[in-house]
Amino acid sequence: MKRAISKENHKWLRIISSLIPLILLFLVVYLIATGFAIQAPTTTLPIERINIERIVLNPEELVVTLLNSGPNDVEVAQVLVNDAIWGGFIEPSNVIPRLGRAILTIPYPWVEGEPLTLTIITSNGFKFKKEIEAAILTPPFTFEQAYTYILIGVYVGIIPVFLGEGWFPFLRGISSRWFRFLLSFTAGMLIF
Amino acid sequence: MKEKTEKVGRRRDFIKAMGVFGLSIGLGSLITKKVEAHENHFPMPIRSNSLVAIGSVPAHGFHPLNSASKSVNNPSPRVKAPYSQSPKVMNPMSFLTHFDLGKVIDSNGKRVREFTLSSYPSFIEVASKVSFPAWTFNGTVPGPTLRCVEGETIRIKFLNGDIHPHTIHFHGIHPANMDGVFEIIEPGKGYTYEFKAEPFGVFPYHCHTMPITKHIAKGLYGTLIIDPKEPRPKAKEMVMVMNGFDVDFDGENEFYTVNGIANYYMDYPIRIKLGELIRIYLVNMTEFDLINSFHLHANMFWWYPNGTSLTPSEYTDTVMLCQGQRGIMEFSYKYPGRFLFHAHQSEFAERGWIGMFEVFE
Repeated sequence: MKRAISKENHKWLRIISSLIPLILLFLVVYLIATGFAIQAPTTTLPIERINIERIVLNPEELVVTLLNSGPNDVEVAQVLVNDAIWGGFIEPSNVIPRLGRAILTIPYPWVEGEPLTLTIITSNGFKFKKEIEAAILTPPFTFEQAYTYILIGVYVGIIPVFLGEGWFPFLRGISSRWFRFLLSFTAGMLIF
Repeated sequence: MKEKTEKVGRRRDFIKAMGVFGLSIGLGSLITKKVEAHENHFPMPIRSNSLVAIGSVPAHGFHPLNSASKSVNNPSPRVKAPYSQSPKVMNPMSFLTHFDLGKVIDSNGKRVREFTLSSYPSFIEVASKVSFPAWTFNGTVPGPTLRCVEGETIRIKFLNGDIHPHTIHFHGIHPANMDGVFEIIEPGKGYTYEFKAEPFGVFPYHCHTMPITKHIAKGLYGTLIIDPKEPRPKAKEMVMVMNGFDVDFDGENEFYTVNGIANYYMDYPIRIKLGELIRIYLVNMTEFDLINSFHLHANMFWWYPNGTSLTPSEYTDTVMLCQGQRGIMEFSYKYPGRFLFHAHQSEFAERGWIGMFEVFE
Protein backbone atom coordinates (compact mmCIF):
# COMPACT_ATOMS: atom_id res chain seq x y z
CA MET A 1 0.00 0.00 0.00
CA LYS A 2 2.77 2.35 1.00
CA ARG A 3 4.67 1.46 -2.14
CA ALA A 4 1.66 2.16 -4.29
CA ILE A 5 1.34 5.67 -2.85
CA SER A 6 4.97 6.46 -3.49
CA LYS A 7 4.54 5.28 -7.08
CA GLU A 8 1.58 7.63 -7.43
CA ASN A 9 3.68 10.48 -6.00
CA HIS A 10 6.46 9.66 -8.38
CA LYS A 11 4.07 9.99 -11.32
CA TRP A 12 2.90 13.44 -10.17
CA LEU A 13 6.47 14.60 -9.63
CA ARG A 14 7.30 13.63 -13.18
CA ILE A 15 4.36 15.59 -14.57
CA ILE A 16 5.28 18.65 -12.49
CA SER A 17 8.96 18.47 -13.43
CA SER A 18 7.97 18.35 -17.10
CA LEU A 19 5.80 21.45 -16.64
CA ILE A 20 8.32 23.61 -14.76
CA PRO A 21 10.57 24.36 -17.79
CA LEU A 22 7.49 25.17 -19.86
CA ILE A 23 6.23 27.60 -17.23
CA LEU A 24 9.67 29.22 -17.06
CA LEU A 25 9.75 29.48 -20.85
CA PHE A 26 6.39 31.28 -20.87
CA LEU A 27 7.70 33.59 -18.17
CA VAL A 28 10.82 34.46 -20.20
CA VAL A 29 8.76 35.03 -23.37
CA TYR A 30 6.42 37.27 -21.38
CA LEU A 31 9.33 39.28 -19.97
CA ILE A 32 10.89 39.77 -23.40
CA ALA A 33 7.55 40.67 -24.98
CA THR A 34 6.77 43.25 -22.31
CA GLY A 35 10.25 44.73 -22.59
CA PHE A 36 11.03 44.09 -18.95
CA ALA A 37 14.06 41.91 -19.51
CA ILE A 38 15.61 43.68 -22.50
CA GLN A 39 15.26 47.33 -23.48
CA ALA A 40 15.50 47.38 -27.30
CA PRO A 41 18.04 49.99 -28.45
CA THR A 42 16.22 52.92 -30.03
CA THR A 43 17.49 55.53 -32.49
CA THR A 44 16.12 58.88 -33.55
CA LEU A 45 17.64 58.46 -37.03
CA PRO A 46 15.08 57.63 -39.69
CA ILE A 47 15.44 54.16 -41.17
CA GLU A 48 13.64 53.73 -44.43
CA ARG A 49 13.37 50.84 -46.83
CA ILE A 50 11.43 50.61 -50.06
CA ASN A 51 11.30 47.46 -52.17
CA ILE A 52 10.79 48.06 -55.86
CA GLU A 53 8.79 44.88 -56.29
CA ARG A 54 7.82 44.95 -59.91
CA ILE A 55 8.29 47.14 -62.99
CA VAL A 56 5.80 46.57 -65.78
CA LEU A 57 6.82 48.08 -69.11
CA ASN A 58 3.94 49.36 -71.20
CA PRO A 59 4.34 51.36 -74.39
CA GLU A 60 5.80 54.75 -73.33
CA GLU A 61 5.16 53.97 -69.68
CA LEU A 62 6.46 52.17 -66.59
CA VAL A 63 4.14 50.87 -63.89
CA VAL A 64 6.03 50.24 -60.67
CA THR A 65 4.89 48.48 -57.50
CA LEU A 66 6.53 49.78 -54.32
CA LEU A 67 6.49 48.13 -50.90
CA ASN A 68 7.50 49.90 -47.71
CA SER A 69 9.32 47.17 -45.80
CA GLY A 70 10.92 49.55 -43.30
CA PRO A 71 9.84 50.27 -39.73
CA ASN A 72 8.32 53.72 -40.43
CA ASP A 73 6.05 55.46 -42.93
CA VAL A 74 7.94 56.64 -46.01
CA GLU A 75 7.30 59.68 -48.21
CA VAL A 76 8.32 59.13 -51.82
CA ALA A 77 9.73 62.48 -52.97
CA GLN A 78 11.48 62.07 -56.31
CA VAL A 79 11.74 59.56 -59.13
CA LEU A 80 14.84 59.25 -61.31
CA VAL A 81 14.79 57.25 -64.54
CA ASN A 82 18.22 56.53 -66.02
CA ASP A 83 19.66 59.01 -63.50
CA ALA A 84 17.49 61.93 -64.71
CA ILE A 85 14.84 63.62 -62.56
CA TRP A 86 11.56 62.28 -63.83
CA GLY A 87 8.05 61.97 -62.46
CA GLY A 88 4.70 60.27 -62.59
CA PHE A 89 1.60 59.50 -60.63
CA ILE A 90 1.51 57.52 -57.44
CA GLU A 91 -1.52 55.94 -55.86
CA PRO A 92 -3.08 55.79 -53.37
CA SER A 93 -0.59 58.24 -51.84
CA ASN A 94 3.08 59.27 -51.96
CA VAL A 95 3.24 58.53 -48.24
CA ILE A 96 3.43 54.75 -47.96
CA PRO A 97 2.54 53.33 -44.55
CA ARG A 98 4.64 50.61 -42.96
CA LEU A 99 4.17 47.39 -44.97
CA GLY A 100 1.91 49.31 -47.37
CA ARG A 101 2.14 49.35 -51.13
CA ALA A 102 1.86 52.05 -53.80
CA ILE A 103 1.62 51.95 -57.56
CA LEU A 104 3.71 54.44 -59.47
CA THR A 105 2.91 55.18 -63.12
CA ILE A 106 5.70 56.92 -65.00
CA PRO A 107 5.32 58.18 -68.57
CA TYR A 108 8.70 57.41 -70.14
CA PRO A 109 9.88 56.82 -73.72
CA TRP A 110 11.99 53.75 -72.90
CA VAL A 111 14.07 52.07 -75.58
CA GLU A 112 13.58 48.38 -76.27
CA GLY A 113 16.54 46.15 -75.51
CA GLU A 114 18.43 48.82 -73.54
CA PRO A 115 19.01 48.85 -69.79
CA LEU A 116 16.76 50.94 -67.60
CA THR A 117 17.47 52.18 -64.09
CA LEU A 118 14.78 53.38 -61.72
CA THR A 119 15.71 55.32 -58.59
CA ILE A 120 13.30 56.31 -55.83
CA ILE A 121 14.38 59.11 -53.47
CA THR A 122 12.49 59.59 -50.21
CA SER A 123 11.91 62.86 -48.37
CA ASN A 124 14.76 61.98 -46.01
CA GLY A 125 17.16 61.46 -48.90
CA PHE A 126 17.17 57.66 -48.93
CA LYS A 127 17.81 56.20 -52.36
CA PHE A 128 16.48 52.90 -53.74
CA LYS A 129 17.55 51.62 -57.12
CA LYS A 130 16.38 48.90 -59.45
CA GLU A 131 17.94 48.04 -62.76
CA ILE A 132 16.33 46.29 -65.71
CA GLU A 133 19.09 44.73 -67.81
CA ALA A 134 17.20 44.94 -71.08
CA ALA A 135 13.84 46.64 -71.38
CA ILE A 136 11.15 44.65 -73.17
CA LEU A 137 7.38 44.96 -73.23
CA THR A 138 5.91 43.02 -70.30
CA PRO A 139 4.08 40.01 -71.82
CA PRO A 140 0.34 40.40 -71.39
CA PHE A 141 -1.82 37.72 -69.77
CA THR A 142 -3.30 35.38 -72.37
CA PHE A 143 -5.09 32.04 -72.13
CA GLU A 144 -2.44 30.66 -74.45
CA GLN A 145 0.17 31.50 -71.84
CA ALA A 146 -1.96 30.03 -69.06
CA TYR A 147 -2.34 26.85 -71.14
CA THR A 148 1.44 26.62 -71.49
CA TYR A 149 1.87 26.90 -67.73
CA ILE A 150 -0.83 24.27 -67.14
CA LEU A 151 0.97 21.94 -69.57
CA ILE A 152 4.23 22.48 -67.67
CA GLY A 153 2.38 21.60 -64.48
CA VAL A 154 1.01 18.42 -66.07
CA TYR A 155 4.46 17.38 -67.31
CA VAL A 156 6.17 18.07 -64.00
CA GLY A 157 3.50 17.17 -61.47
CA ILE A 158 1.08 14.64 -62.93
CA ILE A 159 2.80 12.55 -65.62
CA PRO A 160 5.71 11.44 -63.34
CA VAL A 161 3.17 10.14 -60.80
CA PHE A 162 1.47 8.05 -63.48
CA LEU A 163 4.84 6.74 -64.64
CA GLY A 164 5.74 5.87 -61.05
CA GLU A 165 2.51 3.99 -60.57
CA GLY A 166 3.37 1.90 -63.61
CA TRP A 167 6.25 0.56 -61.55
CA PHE A 168 3.98 -0.81 -58.84
CA PRO A 169 3.60 -4.40 -60.17
CA PHE A 170 7.40 -4.68 -60.36
CA LEU A 171 7.84 -3.27 -56.85
CA ARG A 172 5.41 -5.79 -55.44
CA GLY A 173 7.70 -8.55 -56.66
CA ILE A 174 10.96 -7.44 -55.02
CA SER A 175 12.18 -8.37 -51.55
CA SER A 176 11.20 -6.22 -48.59
CA ARG A 177 14.89 -5.24 -48.07
CA TRP A 178 15.14 -3.73 -51.53
CA PHE A 179 11.70 -2.24 -51.16
CA ARG A 180 12.80 -0.46 -47.95
CA PHE A 181 15.99 0.69 -49.66
CA LEU A 182 14.07 2.18 -52.56
CA LEU A 183 11.56 3.79 -50.21
CA SER A 184 14.26 5.41 -48.04
CA PHE A 185 16.15 6.47 -51.20
CA THR A 186 12.98 8.16 -52.47
CA ALA A 187 12.37 9.83 -49.12
CA GLY A 188 15.98 11.09 -49.07
CA MET A 189 15.64 12.47 -52.58
CA LEU A 190 12.43 14.24 -51.66
CA ILE A 191 14.01 15.81 -48.58
CA PHE A 192 17.01 16.87 -50.66
CA MET B 1 -11.90 -7.10 -55.58
CA LYS B 2 -14.83 -4.80 -55.79
CA GLU B 3 -12.82 -2.12 -54.11
CA LYS B 4 -10.04 -2.45 -56.66
CA THR B 5 -12.31 -2.04 -59.68
CA GLU B 6 -13.84 0.95 -58.03
CA LYS B 7 -10.42 2.50 -57.65
CA VAL B 8 -9.57 1.77 -61.29
CA GLY B 9 -12.89 3.29 -62.25
CA ARG B 10 -12.10 6.43 -60.30
CA ARG B 11 -8.71 6.67 -61.92
CA ARG B 12 -10.26 6.36 -65.38
CA ASP B 13 -12.72 9.08 -64.52
CA PHE B 14 -9.86 11.29 -63.44
CA ILE B 15 -7.92 10.72 -66.65
CA LYS B 16 -11.06 11.44 -68.65
CA ALA B 17 -11.67 14.58 -66.67
CA MET B 18 -8.09 15.72 -67.23
CA GLY B 19 -8.47 15.19 -70.96
CA VAL B 20 -11.67 17.20 -71.07
CA PHE B 21 -10.10 19.93 -68.96
CA GLY B 22 -7.04 20.15 -71.26
CA LEU B 23 -9.22 20.13 -74.36
CA SER B 24 -11.38 22.95 -73.05
CA ILE B 25 -8.30 25.02 -72.25
CA GLY B 26 -6.89 24.37 -75.71
CA LEU B 27 -10.15 25.39 -77.39
CA GLY B 28 -10.49 28.38 -75.11
CA SER B 29 -7.03 29.62 -75.97
CA LEU B 30 -7.77 29.25 -79.70
CA ILE B 31 -10.91 31.33 -79.35
CA THR B 32 -9.38 34.01 -77.19
CA LYS B 33 -6.14 34.20 -79.20
CA LYS B 34 -7.55 36.57 -81.80
CA VAL B 35 -9.15 38.82 -79.24
CA GLU B 36 -5.99 39.16 -77.17
CA ALA B 37 -3.55 39.47 -80.07
CA HIS B 38 -3.72 43.23 -80.59
CA GLU B 39 -4.06 43.99 -76.89
CA ASN B 40 -0.34 43.76 -75.99
CA HIS B 41 -0.87 46.04 -73.05
CA PHE B 42 -0.67 45.08 -69.41
CA PRO B 43 -3.96 45.96 -67.72
CA MET B 44 -3.64 49.32 -66.02
CA PRO B 45 -4.00 49.49 -62.26
CA ILE B 46 -7.36 50.83 -61.18
CA ARG B 47 -7.18 54.59 -61.11
CA SER B 48 -8.59 55.98 -57.92
CA ASN B 49 -9.28 59.59 -57.05
CA SER B 50 -6.20 59.63 -54.85
CA LEU B 51 -3.74 59.89 -57.72
CA VAL B 52 -0.78 61.97 -56.58
CA ALA B 53 1.67 63.62 -58.99
CA ILE B 54 5.26 63.01 -58.00
CA GLY B 55 8.66 64.26 -59.16
CA SER B 56 9.05 66.41 -62.25
CA VAL B 57 8.61 65.11 -65.74
CA PRO B 58 10.64 67.57 -67.86
CA ALA B 59 8.64 70.70 -68.66
CA HIS B 60 10.16 70.89 -72.14
CA GLY B 61 11.07 68.57 -74.98
CA PHE B 62 8.94 65.68 -73.80
CA HIS B 63 5.49 64.62 -74.82
CA PRO B 64 4.06 61.36 -73.50
CA LEU B 65 2.46 60.20 -76.75
CA ASN B 66 1.03 56.75 -76.11
CA SER B 67 1.35 56.82 -72.38
CA ALA B 68 -1.60 55.64 -70.36
CA SER B 69 -1.25 58.80 -68.27
CA LYS B 70 -2.95 60.51 -71.21
CA SER B 71 -6.10 59.19 -69.64
CA VAL B 72 -5.37 61.30 -66.59
CA ASN B 73 -6.23 64.98 -66.72
CA ASN B 74 -2.64 66.14 -66.33
CA PRO B 75 -0.63 64.73 -69.25
CA SER B 76 2.73 65.66 -67.75
CA PRO B 77 3.04 65.14 -64.01
CA ARG B 78 5.19 67.88 -62.62
CA VAL B 79 5.49 68.93 -59.02
CA LYS B 80 6.85 72.48 -58.86
CA ALA B 81 10.15 73.12 -57.14
CA PRO B 82 9.72 74.41 -53.57
CA TYR B 83 9.52 78.19 -53.48
CA SER B 84 12.21 78.47 -50.82
CA GLN B 85 14.59 76.14 -49.00
CA SER B 86 12.69 76.61 -45.76
CA PRO B 87 9.82 78.94 -44.89
CA LYS B 88 12.01 81.32 -42.89
CA VAL B 89 14.79 81.91 -45.39
CA MET B 90 15.27 83.80 -48.63
CA ASN B 91 14.02 82.10 -51.80
CA PRO B 92 16.32 81.63 -54.82
CA MET B 93 14.41 84.31 -56.76
CA SER B 94 15.26 87.04 -54.27
CA PHE B 95 18.67 85.49 -53.61
CA LEU B 96 19.41 85.97 -57.34
CA THR B 97 19.41 89.76 -57.13
CA HIS B 98 20.16 90.29 -53.45
CA PHE B 99 23.58 91.65 -52.54
CA ASP B 100 24.51 92.05 -48.90
CA LEU B 101 26.23 95.47 -48.81
CA GLY B 102 26.95 95.17 -45.11
CA LYS B 103 27.01 98.19 -42.85
CA VAL B 104 29.46 101.04 -43.36
CA ILE B 105 30.81 102.15 -39.99
CA ASP B 106 33.42 104.55 -38.78
CA SER B 107 35.98 102.60 -36.76
CA ASN B 108 38.63 104.88 -35.19
CA GLY B 109 38.49 107.25 -38.12
CA LYS B 110 38.70 104.34 -40.56
CA ARG B 111 35.82 103.53 -42.94
CA VAL B 112 34.94 99.86 -42.49
CA ARG B 113 32.28 97.76 -44.20
CA GLU B 114 30.95 95.26 -41.69
CA PHE B 115 29.16 91.94 -42.36
CA THR B 116 27.82 89.29 -40.01
CA LEU B 117 27.90 85.61 -40.85
CA SER B 118 26.70 82.81 -38.59
CA SER B 119 27.06 79.11 -39.26
CA TYR B 120 24.29 76.82 -38.07
CA PRO B 121 22.60 73.58 -39.14
CA SER B 122 19.29 73.67 -40.96
CA PHE B 123 16.99 71.25 -42.76
CA ILE B 124 16.51 72.70 -46.22
CA GLU B 125 14.42 71.54 -49.16
CA VAL B 126 16.74 71.11 -52.16
CA ALA B 127 14.21 69.55 -54.56
CA SER B 128 10.47 69.05 -54.32
CA LYS B 129 9.82 67.21 -51.02
CA VAL B 130 13.52 66.28 -50.54
CA SER B 131 14.93 67.49 -47.26
CA PHE B 132 18.69 67.87 -46.72
CA PRO B 133 20.39 68.31 -43.33
CA ALA B 134 22.63 71.23 -44.32
CA TRP B 135 25.28 73.30 -42.58
CA THR B 136 24.58 76.89 -43.57
CA PHE B 137 25.89 80.42 -43.44
CA ASN B 138 22.88 82.49 -42.31
CA GLY B 139 20.37 79.70 -43.02
CA THR B 140 20.69 79.21 -46.79
CA VAL B 141 22.83 77.22 -49.21
CA PRO B 142 24.57 79.04 -50.82
CA GLY B 143 25.27 81.63 -48.13
CA PRO B 144 24.67 85.38 -48.63
CA THR B 145 26.39 87.29 -51.41
CA LEU B 146 28.70 89.84 -49.77
CA ARG B 147 29.55 92.92 -51.81
CA CYS B 148 32.07 95.71 -51.34
CA VAL B 149 34.33 98.07 -53.29
CA GLU B 150 38.00 97.52 -54.02
CA GLY B 151 40.29 99.15 -51.43
CA GLU B 152 37.68 99.21 -48.66
CA THR B 153 38.42 97.55 -45.36
CA ILE B 154 35.92 94.76 -44.81
CA ARG B 155 35.16 93.19 -41.46
CA ILE B 156 33.29 89.88 -41.29
CA LYS B 157 32.03 89.03 -37.81
CA PHE B 158 31.73 85.25 -37.76
CA LEU B 159 29.81 83.34 -35.12
CA ASN B 160 29.83 79.55 -35.10
CA GLY B 161 26.41 78.40 -33.94
CA ASP B 162 26.91 74.82 -35.05
CA ILE B 163 28.03 71.83 -32.97
CA HIS B 164 31.02 71.36 -35.33
CA PRO B 165 34.06 73.63 -35.64
CA HIS B 166 34.11 75.84 -38.75
CA THR B 167 36.03 78.69 -40.40
CA ILE B 168 35.52 81.09 -43.29
CA HIS B 169 38.18 80.99 -45.96
CA PHE B 170 37.98 83.86 -48.45
CA HIS B 171 39.63 83.83 -51.85
CA GLY B 172 41.55 87.02 -52.67
CA ILE B 173 44.56 88.79 -51.12
CA HIS B 174 44.80 89.08 -47.30
CA PRO B 175 47.08 88.32 -44.30
CA ALA B 176 47.68 84.73 -43.17
CA ASN B 177 45.55 84.94 -40.01
CA MET B 178 42.62 86.22 -42.09
CA ASP B 179 42.71 83.20 -44.42
CA GLY B 180 40.40 81.06 -42.28
CA VAL B 181 42.56 77.95 -42.31
CA PHE B 182 44.62 77.62 -39.10
CA GLU B 183 42.27 79.48 -36.76
CA ILE B 184 39.56 76.86 -36.28
CA ILE B 185 36.48 78.38 -34.66
CA GLU B 186 34.99 76.06 -32.06
CA PRO B 187 31.22 75.73 -31.56
CA GLY B 188 29.79 78.76 -29.80
CA LYS B 189 32.92 80.83 -30.49
CA GLY B 190 33.42 83.69 -32.93
CA TYR B 191 36.15 85.31 -35.02
CA THR B 192 36.46 88.60 -36.85
CA TYR B 193 38.03 88.57 -40.27
CA GLU B 194 39.26 91.99 -41.34
CA PHE B 195 41.24 92.83 -44.46
CA LYS B 196 41.51 95.24 -47.35
CA ALA B 197 39.29 94.14 -50.24
CA GLU B 198 41.57 93.45 -53.18
CA PRO B 199 41.71 92.91 -56.10
CA PHE B 200 38.31 93.58 -57.69
CA GLY B 201 36.53 90.51 -59.01
CA VAL B 202 34.24 87.71 -57.94
CA PHE B 203 35.42 85.28 -55.22
CA PRO B 204 34.00 82.29 -53.44
CA TYR B 205 34.19 81.98 -49.67
CA HIS B 206 33.82 78.67 -47.87
CA CYS B 207 34.56 76.77 -44.70
CA HIS B 208 38.07 75.30 -44.69
CA THR B 209 37.80 72.89 -41.75
CA MET B 210 38.81 69.30 -42.34
CA PRO B 211 37.31 67.13 -43.72
CA ILE B 212 36.80 69.92 -46.21
CA THR B 213 34.79 67.80 -48.68
CA LYS B 214 32.15 67.26 -46.01
CA HIS B 215 32.09 70.93 -44.95
CA ILE B 216 31.57 72.10 -48.53
CA ALA B 217 29.15 69.32 -49.53
CA LYS B 218 27.06 70.23 -46.48
CA GLY B 219 26.66 73.77 -47.82
CA LEU B 220 29.14 76.15 -46.17
CA TYR B 221 29.96 78.50 -49.04
CA GLY B 222 28.95 81.74 -50.70
CA THR B 223 30.11 84.58 -52.92
CA LEU B 224 32.14 87.73 -52.29
CA ILE B 225 31.99 90.42 -54.96
CA ILE B 226 34.60 93.18 -54.93
CA ASP B 227 33.55 95.96 -57.30
CA PRO B 228 36.14 98.03 -59.12
CA LYS B 229 36.49 101.64 -57.84
CA GLU B 230 35.15 102.80 -61.18
CA PRO B 231 31.84 100.87 -61.31
CA ARG B 232 31.02 98.57 -64.22
CA PRO B 233 28.36 99.80 -66.70
CA LYS B 234 24.81 99.81 -65.37
CA ALA B 235 23.14 96.41 -65.80
CA LYS B 236 20.62 94.07 -64.23
CA GLU B 237 22.87 92.04 -61.98
CA MET B 238 22.43 88.50 -60.72
CA VAL B 239 24.45 85.98 -58.78
CA MET B 240 24.37 82.30 -59.64
CA VAL B 241 26.15 79.74 -57.50
CA MET B 242 26.29 76.31 -59.11
CA ASN B 243 26.26 73.44 -56.63
CA GLY B 244 25.18 69.88 -55.97
CA PHE B 245 23.51 68.03 -53.11
CA ASP B 246 24.47 64.54 -52.01
CA VAL B 247 21.25 63.74 -50.16
CA ASP B 248 22.15 60.14 -49.25
CA PHE B 249 25.81 60.91 -48.41
CA ASP B 250 27.30 58.30 -50.74
CA GLY B 251 29.91 60.69 -52.15
CA GLU B 252 28.03 61.65 -55.30
CA ASN B 253 25.43 64.32 -55.95
CA GLU B 254 21.81 63.39 -56.49
CA PHE B 255 20.73 66.92 -57.36
CA TYR B 256 22.44 69.83 -59.10
CA THR B 257 21.19 73.37 -58.73
CA VAL B 258 21.88 77.04 -59.21
CA ASN B 259 21.22 78.91 -55.98
CA GLY B 260 20.12 75.87 -54.03
CA ILE B 261 16.92 74.30 -55.39
CA ALA B 262 16.77 71.81 -58.26
CA ASN B 263 14.73 72.98 -61.29
CA TYR B 264 13.93 76.26 -59.50
CA TYR B 265 14.32 78.71 -62.39
CA MET B 266 12.52 76.22 -64.65
CA ASP B 267 9.40 76.46 -62.51
CA TYR B 268 9.93 80.16 -61.70
CA PRO B 269 11.54 81.65 -64.83
CA ILE B 270 13.71 84.75 -64.52
CA ARG B 271 11.98 87.64 -66.26
CA ILE B 272 14.31 90.01 -68.12
CA LYS B 273 13.71 92.96 -70.44
CA LEU B 274 14.44 92.75 -74.14
CA GLY B 275 17.78 94.39 -74.94
CA GLU B 276 18.62 95.03 -71.28
CA LEU B 277 22.23 94.37 -70.27
CA ILE B 278 22.40 91.37 -67.93
CA ARG B 279 25.43 90.73 -65.73
CA ILE B 280 25.74 87.39 -63.96
CA TYR B 281 28.31 86.66 -61.27
CA LEU B 282 28.82 82.93 -61.75
CA VAL B 283 30.55 80.74 -59.15
CA ASN B 284 31.08 76.98 -59.21
CA MET B 285 30.94 75.42 -55.72
CA THR B 286 29.96 71.91 -56.87
CA GLU B 287 31.55 69.21 -54.72
CA PHE B 288 32.46 65.66 -55.90
CA ASP B 289 32.20 66.49 -59.62
CA LEU B 290 35.37 68.01 -61.07
CA ILE B 291 33.68 70.49 -63.38
CA ASN B 292 30.43 72.25 -63.99
CA SER B 293 29.35 74.46 -66.86
CA PHE B 294 26.94 77.17 -67.97
CA HIS B 295 25.27 77.20 -71.37
CA LEU B 296 23.06 80.05 -72.58
CA HIS B 297 20.43 79.37 -75.24
CA ALA B 298 19.93 81.38 -78.42
CA ASN B 299 22.51 83.95 -77.37
CA MET B 300 26.21 84.65 -76.77
CA PHE B 301 27.83 86.26 -73.75
CA TRP B 302 31.02 88.12 -72.91
CA TRP B 303 33.08 86.21 -70.38
CA TYR B 304 35.30 87.87 -67.74
CA PRO B 305 37.23 85.06 -65.96
CA ASN B 306 37.30 85.74 -62.18
CA GLY B 307 35.98 89.24 -62.95
CA THR B 308 39.49 90.57 -62.36
CA SER B 309 39.66 92.42 -65.68
CA LEU B 310 37.31 94.91 -67.31
CA THR B 311 38.10 93.44 -70.72
CA PRO B 312 36.33 90.18 -71.57
CA SER B 313 38.43 87.24 -72.66
CA GLU B 314 35.84 85.37 -74.67
CA TYR B 315 32.59 85.69 -76.58
CA THR B 316 30.85 82.37 -76.16
CA ASP B 317 27.63 80.56 -75.24
CA THR B 318 29.20 77.90 -73.01
CA VAL B 319 31.75 78.18 -70.23
CA MET B 320 33.34 75.38 -68.22
CA LEU B 321 34.35 75.88 -64.59
CA CYS B 322 36.44 73.73 -62.25
CA GLN B 323 35.59 73.46 -58.51
CA GLY B 324 35.99 76.97 -57.05
CA GLN B 325 36.34 78.64 -60.45
CA ARG B 326 34.17 81.65 -61.28
CA GLY B 327 33.66 84.65 -63.54
CA ILE B 328 31.31 87.33 -64.80
CA MET B 329 29.13 87.04 -67.89
CA GLU B 330 27.40 89.87 -69.77
CA PHE B 331 24.72 89.62 -72.43
CA SER B 332 21.41 91.01 -73.63
CA TYR B 333 18.60 89.29 -75.55
CA LYS B 334 17.83 90.23 -79.13
CA TYR B 335 14.53 88.32 -79.32
CA PRO B 336 11.67 87.96 -76.85
CA GLY B 337 10.50 84.57 -75.64
CA ARG B 338 11.56 81.77 -73.36
CA PHE B 339 15.20 80.70 -73.37
CA LEU B 340 16.85 77.91 -71.40
CA PHE B 341 20.13 78.11 -69.52
CA HIS B 342 21.70 75.02 -67.98
CA ALA B 343 24.82 72.98 -67.43
CA HIS B 344 25.94 71.54 -70.74
CA GLN B 345 26.63 68.27 -68.97
CA SER B 346 23.20 66.86 -69.81
CA GLU B 347 23.35 64.69 -66.70
CA PHE B 348 23.54 67.80 -64.46
CA ALA B 349 20.79 69.53 -66.42
CA GLU B 350 18.53 66.52 -66.03
CA ARG B 351 19.20 66.44 -62.30
CA GLY B 352 18.03 69.98 -61.66
CA TRP B 353 20.66 72.43 -63.01
CA ILE B 354 18.37 73.98 -65.60
CA GLY B 355 16.48 77.24 -65.75
CA MET B 356 14.71 79.64 -68.03
CA PHE B 357 14.85 83.31 -68.96
CA GLU B 358 11.57 84.87 -69.98
CA VAL B 359 12.43 87.82 -72.19
CA PHE B 360 9.63 90.35 -72.47
CA GLU B 361 9.32 93.53 -74.56
